[in-house]
Amino acid sequence: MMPERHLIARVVVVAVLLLTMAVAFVSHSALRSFEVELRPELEREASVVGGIGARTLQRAVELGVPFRGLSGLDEYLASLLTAQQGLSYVLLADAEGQRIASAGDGAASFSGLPAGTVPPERGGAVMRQLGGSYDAALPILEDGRIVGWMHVGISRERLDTVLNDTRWDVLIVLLVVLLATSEFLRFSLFRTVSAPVELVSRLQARLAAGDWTLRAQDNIVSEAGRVVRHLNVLVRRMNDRFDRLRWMATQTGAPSRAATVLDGVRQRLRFGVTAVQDGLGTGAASGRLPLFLFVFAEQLSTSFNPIYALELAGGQGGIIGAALPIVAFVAAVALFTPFGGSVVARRGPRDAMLIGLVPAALGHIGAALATDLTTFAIARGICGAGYAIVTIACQVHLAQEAPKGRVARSLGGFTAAVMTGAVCGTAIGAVLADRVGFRVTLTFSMVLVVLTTLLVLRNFVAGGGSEQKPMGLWRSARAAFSEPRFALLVLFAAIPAKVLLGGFIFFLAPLELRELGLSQAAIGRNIMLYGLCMLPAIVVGAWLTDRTGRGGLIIALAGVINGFALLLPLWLDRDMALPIAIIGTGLAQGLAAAPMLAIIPGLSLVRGAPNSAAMLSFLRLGERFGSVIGPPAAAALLALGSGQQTMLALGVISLATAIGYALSLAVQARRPGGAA
Amino acid sequence: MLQRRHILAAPASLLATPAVAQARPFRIMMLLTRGWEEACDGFRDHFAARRIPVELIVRDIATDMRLVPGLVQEVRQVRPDLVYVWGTGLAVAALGPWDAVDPSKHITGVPVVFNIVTDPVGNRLIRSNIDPGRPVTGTEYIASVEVQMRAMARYRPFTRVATIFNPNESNSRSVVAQARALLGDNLLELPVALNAARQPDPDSIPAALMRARQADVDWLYIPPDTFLNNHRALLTREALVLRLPIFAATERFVLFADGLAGLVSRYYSVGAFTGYKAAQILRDGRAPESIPVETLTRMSYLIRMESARQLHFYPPVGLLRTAETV
Repeated sequence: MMPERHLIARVVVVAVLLLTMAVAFVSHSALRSFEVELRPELEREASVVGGIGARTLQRAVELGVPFRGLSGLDEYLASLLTAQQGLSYVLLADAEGQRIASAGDGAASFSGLPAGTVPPERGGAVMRQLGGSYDAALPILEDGRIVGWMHVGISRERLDTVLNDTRWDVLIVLLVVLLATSEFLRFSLFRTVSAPVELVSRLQARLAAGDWTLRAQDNIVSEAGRVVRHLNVLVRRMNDRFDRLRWMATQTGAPSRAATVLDGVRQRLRFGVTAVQDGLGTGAASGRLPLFLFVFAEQLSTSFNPIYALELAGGQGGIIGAALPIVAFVAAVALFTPFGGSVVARRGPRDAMLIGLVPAALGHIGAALATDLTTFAIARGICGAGYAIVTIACQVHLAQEAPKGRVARSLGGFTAAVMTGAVCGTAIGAVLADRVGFRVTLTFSMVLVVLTTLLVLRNFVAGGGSEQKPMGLWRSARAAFSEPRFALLVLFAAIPAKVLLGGFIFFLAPLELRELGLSQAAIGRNIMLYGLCMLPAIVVGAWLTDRTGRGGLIIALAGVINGFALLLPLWLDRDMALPIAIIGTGLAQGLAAAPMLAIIPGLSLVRGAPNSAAMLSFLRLGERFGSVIGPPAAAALLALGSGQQTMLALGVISLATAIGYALSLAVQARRPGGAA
Repeated sequence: MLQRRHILAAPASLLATPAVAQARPFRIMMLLTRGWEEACDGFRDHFAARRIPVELIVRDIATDMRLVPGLVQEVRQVRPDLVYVWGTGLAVAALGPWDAVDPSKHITGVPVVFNIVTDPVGNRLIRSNIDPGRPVTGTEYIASVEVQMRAMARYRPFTRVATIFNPNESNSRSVVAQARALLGDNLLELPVALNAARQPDPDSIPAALMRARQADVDWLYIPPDTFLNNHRALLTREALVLRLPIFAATERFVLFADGLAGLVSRYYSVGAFTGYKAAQILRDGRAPESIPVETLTRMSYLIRMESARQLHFYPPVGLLRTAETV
């Protein structure tokens, strides 16, 4: 790692740590205040329910029914218990605190109020904490004296559940803030520190090598910018002095001798200020922020797309109507991915991104203005076309800008930025839609796409198109898939990975978790484990690939891990096996993400293979195919057997394809000139 | 007994639109069985509250069915806009069976609404509740026997029930028959003894109640019955003495006597509901045969707490949340 990368990493870590501590402190304080606020609310609720229950009993006594002659108490208390959620018990005790009748599980550990307990002077309930419940006791009076107490217990578990949910919400917001902050910091530090320092290093190296011909971009606003400007002045002065020497040589009495000396100098040093200046370049890191922003914008609507579709259909669309915009988006992404690849190959990543951002922006604004389901589905399809072009352009950009020996880590950045954007966008989109509505959120997506366009215009360097003559889509596909390493990668790694993602993470796991009785929020948190585990795994997978150069092996290993994770129901209970399988899938898919992409640039160099943009687009197409067939495949398996059997079947598929891929690697390695 | 009541509550300028065109008050002839009571109040007040001018011509037979032919004759002469008939027996006598009307004996050619009538289909006053089959409509005021038995069980579950009734009244017989079908041998039927003139003898009531006590029944059920209503004070007091809890189908046994409980339609509300149907005919111009016969959707669960205390027969706490105590 170069020194400036160390610097960026340290700054990001320190900033994130400080931010974490600050947000954690604020969150902790907020949670404590929340508890302080919530407890009286629960006590009030217990008191109100107790009041309602006691009023009927009091009325009965006042109507002449003796307290000891009250009948139908069990039925009455049970009706009170079921009328209000969250009550742990409803109980009637006599003046000595002895239980007369009760309903609810929480009554088992009940102990009555001591004889002689006096109710509050202002009326209301006697409040106390009793075991795991808040107990509100209201007196029943007969002839002015207390003859009994009506007790209502509200379980503390409810408070704990609310607090727990809130803690998770705070944690998710914290995570989103941290991920977004690290993306912005990474970009900002690259533009203001890392890239200028690299520019200075490049200039120093050239000067040290005797090249005094080039000047650097001098509008950089930072300390490094000042150094750059000093170096520019130095270069100009040296060139001026050399010109002066040349002039002086012509004025001396021994011009031939002077010319010989100057020739000697010219052989060691090169002078002359050219028109071309060295700039900051685009850099891999600066490609991540536009990608992050773009994916963030796209994912803002993920949480409400089906609901918005149903709303536009006026309740007439049904499930098909709700799914139509999603299908249009996925289909457009699949159709336009190869097209995106050819645009990138012809025009370079910058132009391709700018081309792709136009339909994306139009799609978002079209979705915001849609008045019916069809228009909305078309708008989402247009978004999908833009998404296909932009993402493939970003992948190619990262591959091109990857420093030597860091291809996997650079491409891993692509998956990481997409995942980060997806996690942040989905979470924030739901909150935004809740507050400002669907249409404004979609308009905000469009604004973010415009911002992304400005970032690309400002920071991306034009060019980067392939010098190879374009082969045409069909020929490119044939050429790509006739390369066995590519075909095996797509068939045995890319497609199975996405089948598991779509089939297990997005389809089977939510259903199984719901079967376990988890709330929607808890299901969401469990599914989020996938993304959380994937992010660090991407970094590890990329690092291992760059370090060992055995990307293929890592992909196969990831498939095996994924397979074993899905076979866990063989050894563990479902409530344990499911979250661990989700974690395992996240880790495995994260590990394989970067090496899968990093293999492509090498394969594109093979004679007759299409350029890397085209190959990346076919890889993405394969992944899309896997994503599409995953859920119906899992559904079909589920229809044939249980959820656990479906998990096992998916696990076997993962293991089989991973072993198949590993064997194919071994076979290729034995061939002359083969490589793993 | 002849009365004439004029309800001209509002000046013509305040009348509702259809009534503005009304040239004169609607003339309604009210044929009553046992005088003016709460159901008649509800009927009258429905028009007053809506400022519909009506002229009420009230005729009361004071339970003397021999006066019915004269009333039918008078209706034919007066030709009112609508006839209101109170009570099952009077309705059966004045209107006849829906499929065998005799114009010489029964009211014809005038829309009719009936009130406080038991089982109008069983008594052949109408073809069905949905489709009366003649220009007659009205209201029912008794909950179905099954609902009443469930309400009784909600107060206190039972195995045996006794019921006392006047065998001369078709409304009582009809309800008792339904109870028999539901309870079978667990129903002890106690018809009031008839005297030499084939009229029910009030002096036989205590003996009938004693039979119920000896049979150790859990409840004494009182169906809708004009004779028992007229002797309700004796009946309910005697039942208290014998520690027989009374569950009644009509309100007066609980409201104005010592009956313990009952699931009832309040007479005033039923009267107002009948007024609503009459207004549909008079003001809205609807044909009576197109208006279904209905019952109120809300009934009142009445409990007389003093009787509960005397019997030591207290209602369950849950019932007190919904019941109306008197």
